[in-house]
Amino acid sequence: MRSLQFLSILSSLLLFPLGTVAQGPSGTVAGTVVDQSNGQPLSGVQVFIPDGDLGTLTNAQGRFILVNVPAGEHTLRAEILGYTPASRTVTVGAEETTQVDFSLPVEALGLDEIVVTGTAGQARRREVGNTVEQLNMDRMSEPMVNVESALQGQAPGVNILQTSGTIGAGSQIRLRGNVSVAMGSQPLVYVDGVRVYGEAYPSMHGRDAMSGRGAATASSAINDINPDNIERVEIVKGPAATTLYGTEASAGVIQIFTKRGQTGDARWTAQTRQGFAKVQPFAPKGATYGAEDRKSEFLYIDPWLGNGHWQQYGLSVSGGSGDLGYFLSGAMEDNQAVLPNDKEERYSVRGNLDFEPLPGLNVQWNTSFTSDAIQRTSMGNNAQGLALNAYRLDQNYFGSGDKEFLDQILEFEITEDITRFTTGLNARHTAGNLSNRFTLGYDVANWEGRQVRRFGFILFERGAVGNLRWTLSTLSADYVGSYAFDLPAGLRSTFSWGAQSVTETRNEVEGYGEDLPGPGEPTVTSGANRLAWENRQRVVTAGGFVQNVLDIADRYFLTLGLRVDGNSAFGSDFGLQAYPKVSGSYVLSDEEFWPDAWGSVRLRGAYGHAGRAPGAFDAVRTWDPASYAGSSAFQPRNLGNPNLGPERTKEAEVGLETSHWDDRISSSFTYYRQVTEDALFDVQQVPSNGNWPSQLENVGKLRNSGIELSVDASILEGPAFGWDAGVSLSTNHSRVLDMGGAPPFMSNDMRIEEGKPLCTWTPRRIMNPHEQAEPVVSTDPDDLCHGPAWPTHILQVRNTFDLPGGIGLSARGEFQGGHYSLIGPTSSAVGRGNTLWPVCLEANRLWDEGRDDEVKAWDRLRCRQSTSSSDWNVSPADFFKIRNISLTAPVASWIPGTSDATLSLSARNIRLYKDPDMELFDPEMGGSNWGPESGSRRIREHIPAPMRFSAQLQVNW
Amino acid sequence: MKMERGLESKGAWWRSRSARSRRPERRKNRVTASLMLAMGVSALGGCDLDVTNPGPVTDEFLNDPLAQPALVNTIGLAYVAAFNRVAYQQTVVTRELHFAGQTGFAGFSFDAHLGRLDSDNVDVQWNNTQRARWVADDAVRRLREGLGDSFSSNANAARALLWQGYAYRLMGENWCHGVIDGGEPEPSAVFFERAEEAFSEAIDVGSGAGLDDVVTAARAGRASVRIWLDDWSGAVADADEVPTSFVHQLETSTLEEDQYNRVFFGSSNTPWRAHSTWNTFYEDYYLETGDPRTSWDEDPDFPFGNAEVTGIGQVPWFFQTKYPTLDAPYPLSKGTEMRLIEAEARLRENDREGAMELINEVRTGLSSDHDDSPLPEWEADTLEEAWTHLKRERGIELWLEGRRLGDLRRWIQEGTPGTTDDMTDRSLCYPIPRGERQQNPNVPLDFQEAPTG
Repeated sequence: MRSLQFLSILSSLLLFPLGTVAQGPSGTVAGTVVDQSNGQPLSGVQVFIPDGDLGTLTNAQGRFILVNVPAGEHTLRAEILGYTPASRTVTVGAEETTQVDFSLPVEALGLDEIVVTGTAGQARRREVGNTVEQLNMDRMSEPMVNVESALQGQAPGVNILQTSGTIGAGSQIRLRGNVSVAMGSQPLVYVDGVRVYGEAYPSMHGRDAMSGRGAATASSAINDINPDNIERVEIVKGPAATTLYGTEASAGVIQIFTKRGQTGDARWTAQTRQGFAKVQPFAPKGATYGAEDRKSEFLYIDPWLGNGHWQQYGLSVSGGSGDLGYFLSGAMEDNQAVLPNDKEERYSVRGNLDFEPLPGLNVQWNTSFTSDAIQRTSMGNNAQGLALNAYRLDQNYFGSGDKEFLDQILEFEITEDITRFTTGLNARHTAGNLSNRFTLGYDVANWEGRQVRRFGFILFERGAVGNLRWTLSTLSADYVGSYAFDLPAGLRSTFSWGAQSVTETRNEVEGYGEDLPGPGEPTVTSGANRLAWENRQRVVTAGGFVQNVLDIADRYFLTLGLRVDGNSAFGSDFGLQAYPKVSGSYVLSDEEFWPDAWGSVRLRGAYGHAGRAPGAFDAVRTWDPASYAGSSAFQPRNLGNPNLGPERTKEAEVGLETSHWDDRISSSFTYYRQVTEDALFDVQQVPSNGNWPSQLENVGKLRNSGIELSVDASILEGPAFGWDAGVSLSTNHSRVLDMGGAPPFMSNDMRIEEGKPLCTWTPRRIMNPHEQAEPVVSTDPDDLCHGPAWPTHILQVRNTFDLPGGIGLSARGEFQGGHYSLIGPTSSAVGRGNTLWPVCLEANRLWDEGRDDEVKAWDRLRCRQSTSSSDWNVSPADFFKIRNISLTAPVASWIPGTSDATLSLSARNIRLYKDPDMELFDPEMGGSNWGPESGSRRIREHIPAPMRFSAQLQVNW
Repeated sequence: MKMERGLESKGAWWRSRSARSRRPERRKNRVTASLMLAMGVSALGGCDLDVTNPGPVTDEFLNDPLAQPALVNTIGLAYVAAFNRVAYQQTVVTRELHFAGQTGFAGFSFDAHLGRLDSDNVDVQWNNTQRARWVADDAVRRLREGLGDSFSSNANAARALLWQGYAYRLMGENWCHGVIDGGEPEPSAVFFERAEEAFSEAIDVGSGAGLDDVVTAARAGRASVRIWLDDWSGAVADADEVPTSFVHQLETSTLEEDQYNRVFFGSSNTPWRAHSTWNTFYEDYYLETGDPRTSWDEDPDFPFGNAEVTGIGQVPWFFQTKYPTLDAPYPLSKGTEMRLIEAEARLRENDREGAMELINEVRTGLSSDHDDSPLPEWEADTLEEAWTHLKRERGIELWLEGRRLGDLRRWIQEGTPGTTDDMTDRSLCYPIPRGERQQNPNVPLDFQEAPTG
């Protein structure tokens, strides 16, 4: 049924009437566009006649053809991100074909590229005083699994960590580290100017126990976007760049721009991706268990791990006629992951229309719909989970490690259904020096989670059904006006003003029923005992801004701006918030005295504020309705704080961009320093005052600082062979500067303590872990912070090779280090008497042989049941991963009738190198991507993200 | 090097028009620009930042007369969450049950299973109990203010006062020192004094409201706290008003984890199998007598607890059946307890025979689960033997009812005659937890307490 609905929607979109009509005598313009440096053809270049409503894109061979061009003289222009645009004057004769070729030079700095995110409307990169990462996804050679993995390891300061190997598991995203302790540090997400929900969906758990029952995994809403629809992504990382987004933007902004149509004939693209996934060993070898010889290197879960097949099919068409441009796309995916119950079916459609109803008024209407059905395996720190019971062998909740017992866990049915609809209308009007832009957006995400443990389920024989329906809608309105005028002495000023509002409405209803009557297909109603919950929240943020950009000689730019915001979650005694910004940019290489041979240099600096609002009810003293023995009651919910306001993060960044040797070497350097003032801390209350839950208070002060350095080089350039290489280094050092008198506390497994980073902390620590001696245990506060919970250093390396025959080979890897992770399963397993726990095999052997003196101090505590504790299970989490190796080859000659076709082979996350002390799991996993808990780096009973191998065939005609 | 000025409008790259008539376009431009400006203003002006979200209840609503029944239940809800934690954990500290392998369940440290309560691992018990106490005070205050003169005969007020008495008794019986509303540590007597005060007022208000069950429960409660205040005559006077068959129970529920009967939940195959009667007095006692008050059973499909224990290996899983379901109620006050209070008062007056008569009165009404025969009477030739029987009989009668830790502390600290469970190196009360020490400036971090037996 889902397939039929999808096909119906897709067909109605794709059957939209297309075509162009020629008027008067006309001819044809054809040609090729190549990279000036190496002569390689450039695909996806926009070639158009600005005054003639005609345009097209080049194919994989760099060829283009424009038909029905009116006879006469025209200006033909070629543009593509990353290259200097070029124009040619061409005379077209009736019924003739005119040949025009372009050779575009690389523009490494992209000074005249338009950037949108963080600006008042839009700006050329040369005007902007902060870094804006711009990723041209359209030209990314590797097949993209989802948006998060496509962005992973692509830009300095952008850190994306996948939380587990469960299907659809979302990632923790950080831009320049953690700016908030209490409110999460996931960035805001915009798509084509429309604010969308970009964080995690709920993670459902059974209501029958304190631990979560279920998959203990949250899907990520940003992955609802079909990555193949993305043209480019802009990322601004901190308040120096996000001031104009105001109260909610201190953790940065990711803006996704989807593909658009262009004037010309319909251009069709079809593609398919096929692949499989495989888990690598993630624990020491040395033991087997049971009849299946379950292996310690997989923590004994290997009989349940498969090679999930995943497949994707997509079809899109783009083109334009007259005042109309269109891009229509549909895709379907059918994925299986490595865990036995894990499956996903996803369908998505998108329609992007551009039209000009009035002179000077450009309107874009973008709509997308995604349907995603996910099935998962019960996992996590969960007595009814597969991993927990498999890892603990016969010390599990069955009292048996036999596979036939554990297979019964797979009868736990866990499903998610996501439907996502996003639409946005963007109108831009330009009249001389005055421009106005208005965007109205609506994004609604519907998530339904369902869990069924049927009557007789081995670990809950009474049976239970849970159903959670969660809806989050975001209504956004954004107006920006701008007026540019000349001043004396060669000055030019652009004054901008704007107003924005975002209304986020979150409604959820959950039903739970247990004690089912017997076999059958149950619903919540089947439960003899039933419970229900409802939660409804609306949060409104609204504000306005003014900004002025002073342009001196097109090379000195000074920007001053101020945003003022209000938010419905602020305390009753709290007023509007003002966020200022100032930035400067200086294109040094545009000076008369600057020799061309020295290349291009731009200096920049920016300072700005942004905020992070508290939650909807945080300011008010409230009680929760509850029941006691079937009668109504209350229980304390929130103490309330009438002075509660947003956190305010102030950021300064300075840097420069350079390119040399005909743009063959380019670099970018940024130093940033963020200070979050009035930081919201969950301040624990004195328990004897009623044990109210922790109350948010604006008491803290945090600092984040670091550098971002990127160097890209075109090492070899030639018609037959090319080699581009790049490296990025980013650092991030956090520190708690002030706690407002509050004592140290734990938040999401991180220790918040004055003078320390956001720490991975334990109340005791072994000081001589590797010595063959009695353990020396310290409780000295100076010893207990093992180190930062989040990476302090990230190094990304990338190489691209252009080989003969148009074949491309790319490889990239990422190192993250300086941080420490908690590994939860060790103490849980050893604490229950598991004697085959892989990291304790050696110690157990030595004890058995009476060689107690040779046991490491670390093992003497962590490997004995009587002393086992999570205090002993912290490890350095440094790792290096080969993120991707891809090979692409043009195969149009194999497929008749196509204008170009590309075959790509890709291997992802195929190699992991980690610290020797991190004996278990993958340091990248752990924690949760779910809102307030998203800071945690504790590894629980999950499996690591698998390797992925895929082949993609893309055909255009 | 000069750079040409770049694109002004990326979104309209194929449609920069130049050859149009200027004047009508200018008028249209003005109209369009004005329209868009108006839309922009409406984007901001249409917003109402004063949002009212449904769901959570504002504090003021609790003062509404319509909220009074729910206000009373609020104490019950907090109390069951507190009692569950304290009663369950002390089963292993006082040797009522033995741990069976699942060391981490319910936040028990390994040390707690060995009978040692330290300030790092008892926050939940303290926090829940403090909430019950504070919520009771808050509810009584709201009712007193809201009801005015009618408070003295109001049924809700009587029930709230009864809860308040039990909340303070829970603190007093289990903590050597207490803290009230962020104050300094005080001896547990302060809790018993407050409990006595609340029970006394509950008797008065319950009488005014015609609630006999509340009055009887309050008398039983007051008797149980007066023995801590060394007011044995007062305790006996109250106990005398409570029939032997009387039981006042704490309701539990299957629908919220905090309201489960936690003793059942933790010791049954849910799937914890965390505790067993193995290696306790009650294992052998039940095998010998079949006393229905200490019943337990075993399951051939699950002969052991859910994990091995160092130094012991697999622990046989002998699960208690006193509480057979997740929603089995806990007794809070019983007439049988009153008889034992009277018996203890007689022992303090060296009346051995009178005490033994009362002790055996509790036993003789019961039949063995094994053969339905009456339970044998205890016999005591000396006062010390009589004390031993009293201590054992209270252990049996109040088994798994969250009272044993207080009894053992009281007897050990008073140095009463007779023997009972060995509490050597085991905690006799809960310490003030680390959380209170860290958050409350009136409690020193190194505050010393928590004696052992």
